[in-house]
Amino acid sequence: MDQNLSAEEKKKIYEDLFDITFEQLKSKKISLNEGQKIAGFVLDNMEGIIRKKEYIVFLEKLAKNWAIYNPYYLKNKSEKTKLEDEKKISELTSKLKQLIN
Amino acid sequence: MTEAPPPASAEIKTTQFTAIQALEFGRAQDAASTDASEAFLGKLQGLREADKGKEAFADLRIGDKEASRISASDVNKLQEIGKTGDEDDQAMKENRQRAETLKKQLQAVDIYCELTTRAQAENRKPGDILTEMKRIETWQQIEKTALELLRDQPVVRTMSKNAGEREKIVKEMIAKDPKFRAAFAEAVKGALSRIDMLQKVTEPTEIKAKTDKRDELKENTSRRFTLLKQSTGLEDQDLQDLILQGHSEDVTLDDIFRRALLKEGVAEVEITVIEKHIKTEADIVKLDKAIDTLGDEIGGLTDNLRAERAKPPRGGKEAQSNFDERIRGLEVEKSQKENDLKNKQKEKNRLQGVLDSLLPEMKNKIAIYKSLEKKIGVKNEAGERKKTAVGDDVGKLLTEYPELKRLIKEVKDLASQNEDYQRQLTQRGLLESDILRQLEVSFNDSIVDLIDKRFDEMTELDKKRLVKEQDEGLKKFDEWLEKRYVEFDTNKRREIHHRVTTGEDMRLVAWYGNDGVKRIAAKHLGYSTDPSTWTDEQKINIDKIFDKKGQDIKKKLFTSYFKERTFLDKSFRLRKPFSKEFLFDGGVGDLTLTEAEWGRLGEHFGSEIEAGLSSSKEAQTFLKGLKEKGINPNWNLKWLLWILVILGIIGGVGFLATKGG
Repeated sequence: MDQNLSAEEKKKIYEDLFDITFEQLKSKKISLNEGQKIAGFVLDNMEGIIRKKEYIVFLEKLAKNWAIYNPYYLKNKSEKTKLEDEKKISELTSKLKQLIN
Repeated sequence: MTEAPPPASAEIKTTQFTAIQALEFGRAQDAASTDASEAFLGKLQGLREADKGKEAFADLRIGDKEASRISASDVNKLQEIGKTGDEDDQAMKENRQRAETLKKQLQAVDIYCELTTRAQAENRKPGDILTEMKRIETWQQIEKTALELLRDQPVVRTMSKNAGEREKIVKEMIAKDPKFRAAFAEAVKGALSRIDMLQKVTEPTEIKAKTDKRDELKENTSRRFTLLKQSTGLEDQDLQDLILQGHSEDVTLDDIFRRALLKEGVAEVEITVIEKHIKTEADIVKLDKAIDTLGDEIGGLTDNLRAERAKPPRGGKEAQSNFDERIRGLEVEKSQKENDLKNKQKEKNRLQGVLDSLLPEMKNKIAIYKSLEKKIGVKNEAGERKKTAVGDDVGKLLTEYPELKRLIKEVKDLASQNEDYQRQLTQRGLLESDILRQLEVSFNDSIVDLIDKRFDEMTELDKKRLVKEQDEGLKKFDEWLEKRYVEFDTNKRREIHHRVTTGEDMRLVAWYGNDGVKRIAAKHLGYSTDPSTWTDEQKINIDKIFDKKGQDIKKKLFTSYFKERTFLDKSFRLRKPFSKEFLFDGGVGDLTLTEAEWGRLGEHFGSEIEAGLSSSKEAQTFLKGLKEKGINPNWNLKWLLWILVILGIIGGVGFLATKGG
């Protein structure tokens, strides 16, 4: 079952995403208008996100629209996959142990 | 490998743009490309540092709109200007007037920019948007103020002598440019923020008590004068003069009344006539009343007569005689009243005729007189004036205003005796004036700022274009140079030695030094090799190649010459067996340089070659070895040695030793 995002995690996501956006604004790699569009996209989508899985889907969309978020998306995606893998391995290990015993 | 250092890369000469071109460029730019202002970034950073990422995004979504707008609270800061110390002080007065003018101008320009931008974006009329904004000014007023102000700024004046053309520039290229509005708002807000930072001038205690009372009186009298102005139509100065005459309330009100009439166009001599006509009006009213009364009385007498006649006398002669007498008495009375009524009616008609025959202008003046008299207080027949608000204000001003004047003088006297306070006031006045000056130039400076930014953007783009063009041009040159002296066809393994060309170019370089190198560049460009025929544009193009490729030309020419010359040398040829086909354009003689030409080559490039050799350790070792053997290396030998250094084949010592000279 997919995990829900805690309020703290959501806060952290907002901050991470804002840091990326701010850096681009500051270095004038994106215009103010573009920044406004991004802010609208983030706020509109983040509000409805409850589960981590939804969050990864949102990040993927964000990265598709604005490549600057691609590294962040990939990092989060791999972390999630890693966690899922660890969970599966742990489940398998416990099943194997049950089988052996 | 060592060689003389290449020249510093030449600066790219970009196109020179005019201010109008820069503005037109800005007009073509997408408004969406505006960058976030420093102030807005600071605000966002503040939110982020407070761990408010979501709030920062919310602010970013709204955008930097406030940054490029001049709000009412911004311009209201100007109210602080010219308000410190003595209000009659000339410098403070000037500051106050400048601040008032600036307030109107700043708002007009800001609203004008907003309206022109929005009208275009929303496809609406500016006037409609203005109504929505609930401004008291009309679109025409705002447009006139903003256009006249901006079109006459020094920087706009440089663009055209024609005011109409300049207005067009302002309308089409400046006002709608978001970068202008941002620059303008930033400049204005920056200057206005200095007002917040102005140090308060501390009043000495003995002055403070008096200034508090003075300010209270000032507020009261100012309010009263405003009301009087509205009621009488007189100016502040007129009213103040009349109050300060020191007359009684009644006389002052009479004076105000007469002065106000005069201002309304009623001459002093006309007043008696007007008063006479007003009296006539009153007489008519009185006559009307009397006529009404007489009418009623005549009616009553008629009724009485009718009643009397209905009751004939009974009795004797005496009764009849009494009856006749009563009837006669009533008839006489009725007749007298009828005559009286007739006379009064006649008089009324006469008076009405007089009033009706008055000219409309006089009728209007009578109306003005009556309206003013009502406001100021109509006097009754006993000369007592009716109480009015005007009368009340005048009564109070007669006491308060001289008191205020006295306090102002006292404060002024005390202040002038306090040097520290005076110094603070002077400093404040100067700082205020400086802020106003900063605001006054903000219109021009913001346009300069806009053009400057657009210049930079255009120049940057132009530079990129030129670099690209230049790169392509230089690439073509490289290809040309590569085949110019010794051409190698890799597919056919064929080497062609262009001896004629090499010899010609060597002689050009020998005779003319670096100018000779430029002549080679001219050949590439298809120009004549005679510099006197070069146009300015040709010179620029030649210099571009020389700056970037001058060293390469020399290196290629000298090494190719060396190769073509040394190919003739048996020992060299033996080291390079014929694994390919050789073709020769020209004979051996074409490569020959005279002694004089060698000499000139040394003159032109001697120091350059010495420098190249001195930085090569191997070359130095070799030269030292020659000297030890008693050989004094001449220029030709050094030249060859330098070529070898360039080619990285300094090991050909044996060859050099035999060739030298």
